[in-house]
Amino acid sequence: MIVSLIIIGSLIIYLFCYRFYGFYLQKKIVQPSESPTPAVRLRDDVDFVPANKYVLFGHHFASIAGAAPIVGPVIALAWGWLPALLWVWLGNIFIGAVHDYLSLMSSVRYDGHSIQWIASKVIKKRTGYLFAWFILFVLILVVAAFGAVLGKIFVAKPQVPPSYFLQIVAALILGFLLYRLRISFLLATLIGIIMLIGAIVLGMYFPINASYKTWMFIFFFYIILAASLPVHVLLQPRDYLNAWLLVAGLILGSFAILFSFKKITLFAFTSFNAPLIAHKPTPFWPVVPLIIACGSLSGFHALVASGTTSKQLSKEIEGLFIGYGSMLTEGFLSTLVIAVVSAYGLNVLAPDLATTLKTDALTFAQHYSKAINSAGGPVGLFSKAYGLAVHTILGLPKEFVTILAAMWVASFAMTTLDTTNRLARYTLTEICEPLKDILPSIFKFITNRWIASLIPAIIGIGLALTGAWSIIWPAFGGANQMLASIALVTVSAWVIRVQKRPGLICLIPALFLWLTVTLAMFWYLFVAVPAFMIKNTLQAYVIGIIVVIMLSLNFLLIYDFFKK
Amino acid sequence: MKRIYFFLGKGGVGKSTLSISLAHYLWKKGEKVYLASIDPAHNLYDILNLPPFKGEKEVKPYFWIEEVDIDAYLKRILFEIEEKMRHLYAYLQIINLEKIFDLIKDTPGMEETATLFALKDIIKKHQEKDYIIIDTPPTGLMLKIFSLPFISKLWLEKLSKWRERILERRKIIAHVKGKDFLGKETTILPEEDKVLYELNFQKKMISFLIQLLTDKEKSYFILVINPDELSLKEGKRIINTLNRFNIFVNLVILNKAGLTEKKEINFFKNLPKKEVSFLKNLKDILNLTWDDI
Amino acid sequence: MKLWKTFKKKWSYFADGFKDKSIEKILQELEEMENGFALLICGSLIGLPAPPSLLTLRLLPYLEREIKIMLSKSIYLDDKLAMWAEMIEL
Repeated sequence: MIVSLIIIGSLIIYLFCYRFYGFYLQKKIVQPSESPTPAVRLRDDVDFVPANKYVLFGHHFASIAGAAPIVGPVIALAWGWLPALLWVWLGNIFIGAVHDYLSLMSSVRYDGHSIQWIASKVIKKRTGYLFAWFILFVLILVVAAFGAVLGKIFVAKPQVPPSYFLQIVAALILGFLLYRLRISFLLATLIGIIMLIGAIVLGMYFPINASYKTWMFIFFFYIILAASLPVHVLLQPRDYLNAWLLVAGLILGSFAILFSFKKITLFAFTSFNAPLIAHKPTPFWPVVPLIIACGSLSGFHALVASGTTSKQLSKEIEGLFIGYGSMLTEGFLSTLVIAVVSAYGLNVLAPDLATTLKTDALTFAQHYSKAINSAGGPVGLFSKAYGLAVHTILGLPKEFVTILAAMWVASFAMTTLDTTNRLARYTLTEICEPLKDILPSIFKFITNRWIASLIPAIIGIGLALTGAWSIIWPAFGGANQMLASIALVTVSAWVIRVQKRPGLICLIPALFLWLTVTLAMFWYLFVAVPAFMIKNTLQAYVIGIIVVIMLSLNFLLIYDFFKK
Repeated sequence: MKRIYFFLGKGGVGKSTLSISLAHYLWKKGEKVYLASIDPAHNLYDILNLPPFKGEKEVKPYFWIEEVDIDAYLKRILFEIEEKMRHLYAYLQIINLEKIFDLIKDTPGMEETATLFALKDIIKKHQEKDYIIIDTPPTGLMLKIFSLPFISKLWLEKLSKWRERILERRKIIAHVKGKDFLGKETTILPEEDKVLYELNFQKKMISFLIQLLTDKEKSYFILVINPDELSLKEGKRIINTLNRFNIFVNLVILNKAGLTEKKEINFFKNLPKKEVSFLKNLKDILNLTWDDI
Repeated sequence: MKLWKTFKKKWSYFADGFKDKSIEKILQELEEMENGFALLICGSLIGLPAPPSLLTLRLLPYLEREIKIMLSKSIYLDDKLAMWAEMIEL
């Protein structure tokens, strides 16, 4: 199987389903009208401004693209590239993109209010409150998951940390040039891009070697520090540089694979119960959403879509392109990742390991975890395979492109680390709101600026300290998928009760998702957590408690949904 | 202006009487005197047996008296604002403007702020007079008025800083997205920002007043007390409160003396004291010599 | 000629998008600051129990934009999480 066919295949399938399934959704459920959107009707040139659909698409896509759609699929390849691809395609088309699109449109119909607000109106007031709990857990677990995965690559490839820290310096300088000195935008952009390239080059020659635990402590302080800086100093310029990294990474990768014609060397299908988590047999269904997560479906997208995007949509009919379309584009990104690793993954591993993996499907499944670890975790495997691919096809220096790929993922992941801290501070306050009158002193303590910042950072990094990325990742994925589950249930409630349209087209995916994720989390609780407990008892308990709380809230959610 | 005198004290101790006395004394010596009462209970004209009036009146050549009409002052400020608002908020649906202003006029805090503005205006306007004498309201209101500049100072500075940070960010955005991105009326440059201008105006006014009030040569504070316990206690309170702002009472006058002396008088032992007898009629008042001032 | 025009147009969207990206967080922060400023000065307009002072009134004519922002944000108080969610880049 030639790898370029995967890319072409995904383009065809996505375009086809966009045209037929997407349009069907639009016609049957949303029925976009000519009536003015909130962006037009409530226009205040502050939050409500109608935006051009291409600009809005770019903005929305850049907001939902991150490190997760890259890391997840790499791990999922343990089941073989075909099952992983099928989930990235079908899961996205029938669940993920539907989730994004309908979150966007429901918000548009509710004057631009967020999905959280809609949930409290359409289901029950406390459903909106439940949202905050799931969001908090996602925020904490993503710090753990990304922290662990980054720690792995920082140790395995010591050229990456200096490149990344130089990128921070570049961002600081860019911020100073563009926002303080106010030099021309074009010039600042060029300088920024040159500095990025310089960061990668310098990183190559000045690697930093440190232990995994050291990186964990550095991440911890980084999170607290970066989250306290004013926005224009680091966050904004870094965001801007990340956008260019994304563009470069996507373009280089797509072109490389499209013209690759290399044969895929990974197995199409290994085993339904490949042992990818804690070396325990992991059933493809229901666990795959926990692994691929954002590559196919992400609860956070509902927030983004109903947060700013819905307030900038110019015409209802453009919603499909932006909501449904950008999620499919993210699916394309994940497809690209699968393609790259399936074709070039084995070539970047140690020869004897590669030979072992090639023996047969089951042996592959048995040793895949080890293989990922040897390459520097999922980020390591991806960036090396990517580096090889682009080098082979486009002729760019391999080491440079490898570090570029690693830095691409690291930049997004590190951005997530400190921005989640900012959000978590606020989320904690929202969650503790009921405590304000009952236990005022505890409320004051938790919502204190520094405590609220420390709590998620301590738990997140505390979990990441174990180094067990393969056990932490599905917990993060699970929280995210549960968030998507509430969003999809909310949207279904909106479609059925408010729009009064036949809601099966979103109710079936919603219930299927709810069931899948619930079963997956039970599996996780009874299989993965005990395995975790052997080496890291404390962290296992912490994750266990989080999972139990999420599962209970999950049942409360579905009860509230049906009770009405 | 050579000096400004402030008469402080509890209601009824004889501030107005003594302030007229001092004003007359200085005027008799040939100085240009401006006497203003910011006490809402205007009694200057009563003491002088003049028909009641509001505002400024030159009772004798180079002798002015003003019964400051704070109400009218406040009304004027509000009216000016209202006019500006009507013009600028044409399309913004704020609830009925007139109704809001009626409510706001009676908000606690308006009176003292308006009095402060009035005081500043008087001082600025009559710089060419030799002496300005101010008859202050009873203790409570007087302390509120005098503490206002000091407690507003920090608040205004912080607001200004916040405003400057807002303008800085607007500059950044205008630089990248163009001047009109935030709206045609949105100011970006500090020089053009009316809010910053107003804040700076208030800061300047407050600095001016603080400097004047704490200037030991330019400002002279006379505390008037009576030989009764309440008056003494309140006198102490006045001195302690003003000291916190670095305002120091220069003279204590024990008015309506001839009654039993109290030991609390010792509290004022570090300040120059002047005993003044009960001033019965206008002749007594006007004949009082203020030689040791 | 027409092709060049459409290309320029599409390119301007692209450039616009990048310009937006380079200031979007600062813009959001600015709006929150202006909201806060308005709340401090004239929070009573949206029901905060803070009596307006003379300072409030004197600034009122110049705070049009800030008051608009304050009024808008007071309606969407429950949507804060969603509005800032996109900075996570998950």
